[in-house]
This record gives sequence, C-alpha cells and structure tokens, in this order.
Amino acid sequence: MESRQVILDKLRATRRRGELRERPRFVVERVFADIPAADREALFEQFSRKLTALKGEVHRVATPQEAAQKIALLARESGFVRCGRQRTALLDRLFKGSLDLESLEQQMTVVDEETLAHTAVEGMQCAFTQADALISRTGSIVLRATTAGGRRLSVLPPVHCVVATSAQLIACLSSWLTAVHDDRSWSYGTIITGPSRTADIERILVLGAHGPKRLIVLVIDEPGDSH
Amino acid sequence: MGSASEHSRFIGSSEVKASDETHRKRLLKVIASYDSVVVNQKASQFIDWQEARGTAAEIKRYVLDHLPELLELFEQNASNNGMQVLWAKDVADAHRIVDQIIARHGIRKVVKSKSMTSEELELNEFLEHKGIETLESDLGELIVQLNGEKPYHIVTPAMHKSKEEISEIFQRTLGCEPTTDAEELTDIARRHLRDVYITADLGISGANFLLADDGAILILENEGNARLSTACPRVHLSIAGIEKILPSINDLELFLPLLSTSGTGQQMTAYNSIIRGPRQDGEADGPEVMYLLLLDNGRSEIYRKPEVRDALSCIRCGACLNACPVYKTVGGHTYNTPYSGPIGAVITPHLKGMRDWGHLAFASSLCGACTDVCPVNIPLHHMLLTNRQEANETAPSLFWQTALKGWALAMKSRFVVDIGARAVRVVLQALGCVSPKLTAKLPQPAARSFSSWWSRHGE
Amino acid sequence: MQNVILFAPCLVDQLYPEMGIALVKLLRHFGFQVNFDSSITCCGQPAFNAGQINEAKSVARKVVRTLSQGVLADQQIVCPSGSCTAMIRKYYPEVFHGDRDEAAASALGSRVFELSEFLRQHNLLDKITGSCHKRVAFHNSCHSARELELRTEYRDLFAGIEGLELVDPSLEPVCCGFGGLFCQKFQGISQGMAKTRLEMCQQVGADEILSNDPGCIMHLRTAAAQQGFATPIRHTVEFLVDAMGITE
Repeated sequence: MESRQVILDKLRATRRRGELRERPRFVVERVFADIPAADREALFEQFSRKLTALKGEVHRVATPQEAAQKIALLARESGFVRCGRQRTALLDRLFKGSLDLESLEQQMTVVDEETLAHTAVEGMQCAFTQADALISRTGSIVLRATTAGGRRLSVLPPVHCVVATSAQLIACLSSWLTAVHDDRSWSYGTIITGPSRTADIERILVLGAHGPKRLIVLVIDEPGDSH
Repeated sequence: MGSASEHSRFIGSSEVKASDETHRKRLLKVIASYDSVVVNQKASQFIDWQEARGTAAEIKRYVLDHLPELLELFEQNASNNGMQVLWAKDVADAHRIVDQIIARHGIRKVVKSKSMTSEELELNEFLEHKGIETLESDLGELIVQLNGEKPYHIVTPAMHKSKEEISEIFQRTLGCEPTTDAEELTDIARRHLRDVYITADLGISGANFLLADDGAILILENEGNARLSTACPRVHLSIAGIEKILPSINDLELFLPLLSTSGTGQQMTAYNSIIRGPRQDGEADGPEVMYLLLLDNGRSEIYRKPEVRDALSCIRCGACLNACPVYKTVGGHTYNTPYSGPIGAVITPHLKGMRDWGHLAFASSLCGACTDVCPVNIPLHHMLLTNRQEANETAPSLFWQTALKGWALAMKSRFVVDIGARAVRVVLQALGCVSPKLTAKLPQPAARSFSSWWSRHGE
Repeated sequence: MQNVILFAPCLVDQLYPEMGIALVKLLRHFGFQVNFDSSITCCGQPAFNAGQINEAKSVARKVVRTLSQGVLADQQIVCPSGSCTAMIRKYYPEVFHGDRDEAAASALGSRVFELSEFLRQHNLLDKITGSCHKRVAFHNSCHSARELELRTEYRDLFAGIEGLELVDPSLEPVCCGFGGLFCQKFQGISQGMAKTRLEMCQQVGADEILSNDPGCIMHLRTAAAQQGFATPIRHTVEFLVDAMGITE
C-alpha cells in the first residue's frame, strides 16, 4: 500500500474518540492590544513607528513628483547606478516622468514577466517595487510575486525600496489575507517586517544577513490618476 | 530507563556540560537576553497572552481532531496550485523520494534553508553520500555545518558558539581573515552564499505551517536565505511534518505573531513567505517545479496515544528549550537528537523508540517551566510523567523499580519508617567516622523525627 | 478553638522536624488546635514522579483513608510544602481515577492548603508582624508557583516584617534542581541547576534564602555545602516564628 494511504488510514483509525471539536473562531480585536484606529493618520503613525524601530526607513511624500525627488536624493547619496524596478503604471510615471530620475532610469533594468538571469538581479544596487498593502499594526509590507516583480527582485539586491500609497495602509493582516486567498493567480507572497536581519551570533543584531540591508518605504499621499 | 548506551552517553555528556562553566554562563546570558524581549513582546502586543495561547491551542487541537481530512484538503488545494505533494512514512521512504527527485531533475547542487525535519532525515549526510554538494544557508546552520556539528537549538542552531569560535571556523573552512565583529562575520557568510543561491539546482526548505484552505506553505525567517533558496533554484523541495496544518490562511493573523513572539521575542519575523507552488504564468520568476514532502516518521505513533497526542500541536518555537533549566544546564547536543529540550524529551521516545530514548523522560525535575511558556498549551511536564510510566513498562529499570516498591512498602508503616531512618542515621554516622568529608555534606535523618517530638509535645 | 490537621511531609518528619515544630508553634500562636496523625509518613510523590503509579497509590491510600475518617474527616489540613500540597490537591484525583477511593481523594484535595494559602484564607496575613533586618531571597518552589498558582502571593507573608528587604532574584520560579529522584539519577544536571539558582541569590546580595518547600531546601543546602556557597537556607515558617518572636 502506498505511504499516503498507510498514513491516512492510521490517523483515521486512531483519532480521538468522542465528538470531534468544532472549529474555534477568534476575534482579532480581542487578541491584540495594539490595533491602530482606522483613520489614515493613526495608521501611518503606527506603521512608521513600528517599522522605524526595526531600522526600516519610512518617508511620507505628498505627490509622485516629491517621491521622485526623494528617490533621486537617495540614489545620489548612495551612489546608485544600476538599479532595477518592476514595470507598473505608478513606477513608470515616477521614473519616466521625472527629470531627476532620468539618468537612473536610463540604466534601469525593468522587470516584467520576462525571465531575467539571476546575475542581472544580483548586480543591482537597489530594487524598486510596489506592494500590495502596508500593515499598520506590525509595520509590515505585504507583496506578491505578481505585484512586486517576482520573487528575486525584492530580496537579492542590497537595498529594497517600496513605493506605496497611503490609501494602501490597513490596520491588520486579516483583510489582506482574505483578499489574496480568493485570487488564485499568484504563487508567492511575503509579509516583510524590517530589513533582513540575524542574531545568530551571540544574539547580536546584524542587518542584511542574506536579504536587503536597507528597506526603504515611500508612502505617497496623492498618487494621482495613475493609481 | 532506556538503552544502556544512549542513556549512559547522555549521563556522561550532561556531567561534562554541567560542569563546563564557560558553556553554562554563555547559555544563561544568551537566554536571559531572549527572556527579556519575550516578556516585553507578550505584554505590549497581546491583550491577554493566556487567552491568545488558549485560542491558538484550541485551533491546533481542532486540527488534530480533523487531521486526516485537513491533510487531504491541503493536498487537493496544493495540487490545484501546481505543487506536487508526496508522502513519506519513514526515513527510508523519504530518502527514496529525494533520490528520485535528484535523478529526475539532474540535481548536482543543493542549497538548504533551515529545516528540522531534514535533520530527522539526516538529509545532508544522505545527499553528500550521493555526491551532491549541499550547503546550509541559515547563518547558524552554516556555522554548525562548517564545523561538522548538529544544530544546537531548533531556532538558534549556533547558540553555543562565541564570536571567537565562529571566527576560527570561518578561517579554517572558508579561508577568511580573522575577525570577531558580528557584522563582518555575517558578511562573510553572505558573500560565501551569494553564488550558491544562483548556482544551486535545488532549494530545500522546511515549512512552519501548511494552510489547508489555501494549499500554501509558510516559511518564517529573518535572514532572507529561505526566500533566496526558494526563489532562485529551478526546483524547490519543502519537507514538512504532517502535524504542520493550520485550517485557514486567516489563522496566520494569530499564528505568525504567536510563533514570532515565542520564538525570538519579535512581533513578526522579518520574512513570512507564503508559497503556493512553482512559478505561475505571468510571474517574473520562481522554480519550475515544487515538491512538498509530507513526513510521518513516527508522528502517527504519537497521534495514536491519547496521553501525548497534543504534543503534535507543537509549532517548534523553541520557548520550552529556553525555559528549561535542564536545557540551560546541558545544552542541545547532550540530547543527541534533532529535537532537544522538553518537547524533544516528550516526542523523541515515541519517534525513535522508548527503549533507547526513555531516559529523556526522566531527565527532568518536572518543574513545569516548559508548560508555562508553551504558546499552544501543551502540558509538556505532564507528558514527561506519562512517558515515565510507559518507559517503566517497556524498559524497566530493575534497580529503581525494586527500590521504590520497597520504599512504598516501608512508608505504609510508621514503625518501619522510624527504624529505617534510624538505621540510615547510624550508617551515615559510622561512615562519617571513617570519612567525615563524604558525609558532612549529605542530609541525614534528624536525631528525633517530628512524629516522635509530637508524641511528647502533641497535646 | 478551631481544629486543624498538620500534614508533615516525609522530609520534615525525618530530616527537618524543626520545620514541623515551627509550624505547630505558629498555628498555636494564632489559636488553632493542631492535630497530627503519626501513621501518615509521606504523600507518595517520590513514586508518582518516578512513573510508578501503583506504589504511589499504595502510599497515598493511607493518607486518604486516615484523613477521611472520624473527627479528622472535616478538618482543614495545613502543609509546609507546596509540592506535597500540589500532589494531594492536583494529582491524587489522577492517581485514584476510577478507584474506589476516588471521591475521598478529591474531597481531601479541597481541604489541604499550603501554609501561605492557609494564612490568607484565615485572614492572618495582617497579623504577621515582627522585625528582621536582612536581605532575603525567597525561593518559590516550582510546584507552589505552577501547580498551586502561588506566584507573587508569598510577598504578603513578609509585608509586616519590619526591616526585611525582599530581593527577588527572578520574576519566574527557578528550579533548584531537586525533582525527587531526578537529583539522584542525574546528579550532574541537578547540581548545575542548583548552582545557577544559588548564584542568582548570591548576585542580589541575599543574607538568607527562604523557601516554602523542604525538598528544595534539602537540595539547595546539600548543593551549597558541596559547591561552597555560604548563604544560609531556611524554611519560611522557621523564619516567621523567629521574626515574630514566638517562643511557645
């Protein structure tokens, strides 16, 4: 008999006697003490506070133009030449529509469904992606392969810059989980809470173990019609 | 009390570790730092930690009641996602399956992210024996692998190593320059593994949860090595115990912070990857094929026994190890098994045989610290007690059992007890005359028992 | 005068009668008529913890039957050990599950109290007054903390002692390494655990270590003697009798 059947038969034959338990329900509001209020300011405040405490960098800007300026400044300060980004309407608008980012965009590797060599991604100094949502309670960014340029783009380069809008701020994980569960078109999603880290050596915190050393989030208040 | 060889090896190793001051102090320091962040995280995040873990426990008990159906549901949903689900009843079965995968895809190089189930299978040794280059990518796992050791702890595998020791290992095995800076040491590992992710054909991972209603697996990590190991190679194999099921993707809202809090004191681990299968159409990258190996390897034996079944609720956070005064005294390697500490002492005798591993049930003061901290309310120290009963039946220790039978007989008679105590006192005093050093530090019966005092002062 | 039964753990009976004597003095000081049945020698825990239920049951049966008949049957029982109290209250029902003495064993469990529980129940905590100028570390036994849920309750025992400074080495109970036969079967581990515990008390500068469990006290004293720790270790009840100046 094949192993599958052997295992399942044994479990069925030996499970707990008596009435089987019902599925318990839990109410998020009765579990967590730190759920932020649902208004945009409170959501941003907690998201920023939580992620900053984990050494993530959070910037809030009013418009895509302002976001472009921030990125240009970041690129200048960090000496970014070779970067990569996802192809999305918002990122297109940011990088193509700004004189500040003209030179960066010229050398930009734009990632879409085409498979890129690993080395092309590995060679990037910074990756720009969008996200699905920002979770205020825990200061987390959620993204999926379909909405963030695949699996590698957001983890191989040493810097990951996430561009999001303040409308994407939500209090807790639940609503995102429910929404993405119904969408069967993706194979990979991740909940990111801070830059890559390790404490494997004497519990000393070190950033950038294998993933990005820096995680930067730009939150745009008025993204315009592109979003 | 277990086989003479494993049992006496355990005693020998524990004596060495318990008297190793450097080891004991380092462990206490590391765990004290863990303790303080966990206390804060529980207090700041949860309205009531007891209620949170009670809810988590109920969900996991529900899973156990419905385990066969939830496994089938998971399998069906995972298959719909394009994942290939395989079942292995034991180590040999799992090795055969891994062997087939290697042959089918022409695998020559493997990158692994942390997986305790793969330790059960001694997969590294198996792959190396087949001539497949196999590299651990989690920093702690890499350190112990390079040094030819087994993981010391299920969450922090290199907990026992100092910066100096790690520097020595890296110099010896990777030929790098000496440094005792944690950041530089981490960077050495980062650079060492960059190429590996890119050149490996197969990524092997564990799984923290299997979502029945979604058919996805969850991998929690901080470093990013699991993301890289499951994003870059063209084949991904995940190995998970059959008990890893959660009913729904919505349960993650509770279980991600719960595991994170108990495991490391973080609110959320840095990366929680939800993997449904290989790359789908319209996605930029990802493996061409993904396998999920569901491993029994003794778990159905635990499931069969009502007294210990709930131990299958374990989410492998390692909190019971960190709380355990025995673990803090002897460390992980003394147990000589992938799962150490209280949870290891509970499940190992059932996974690997009471005859050889029964001694682990007795190697506890039954203080209950493990039960106190378990995020899914497993009554671990009570299970150790029931393991002792089973061990007494399957592998009796003639000496202790006879001694306790005699003791029970004596304790039923005040006369015998008093005579016995007097005899012990006389013997100890006689011994004391010969060797005062030997007896001076031992407790000895009082000149007059309480009951004899009472007979004069009672009324 | 209210009657109360004193349960003397085997270690108190044979090794440390002074702890039992101190408890008698304290109870009489508070006006209780103390009763003791010398046919009881032990609660049976050593065999229970070794996984030998039959032997545990045979010793426990004597306790259950003796304390469930005649005038003793409705009296409260005080025990100077959290561990033995936990054995009787929490584990006797398990030991006697399905046994003819099951009902009597369960009833007994609801009548037995650890010393501090008993004093609290009778509103006597306020009446503990005295003086003692010492830094004291309290070693709470695992069983009293985790099985009886007495975690911070013990503080109240010392609230009325002037000059006493409680130095808490740990928020959580820390096992001393006794564990019954564990300390014989795994001596290395057990001694290592005691060392960790004694070091914690030393580091906070305790002049004295107090505990509510004779088992912990025996183990800590033995380990202290073997490992060269000088801090004296006593039972709480002995300390209280001294600090309160009770002589008879």
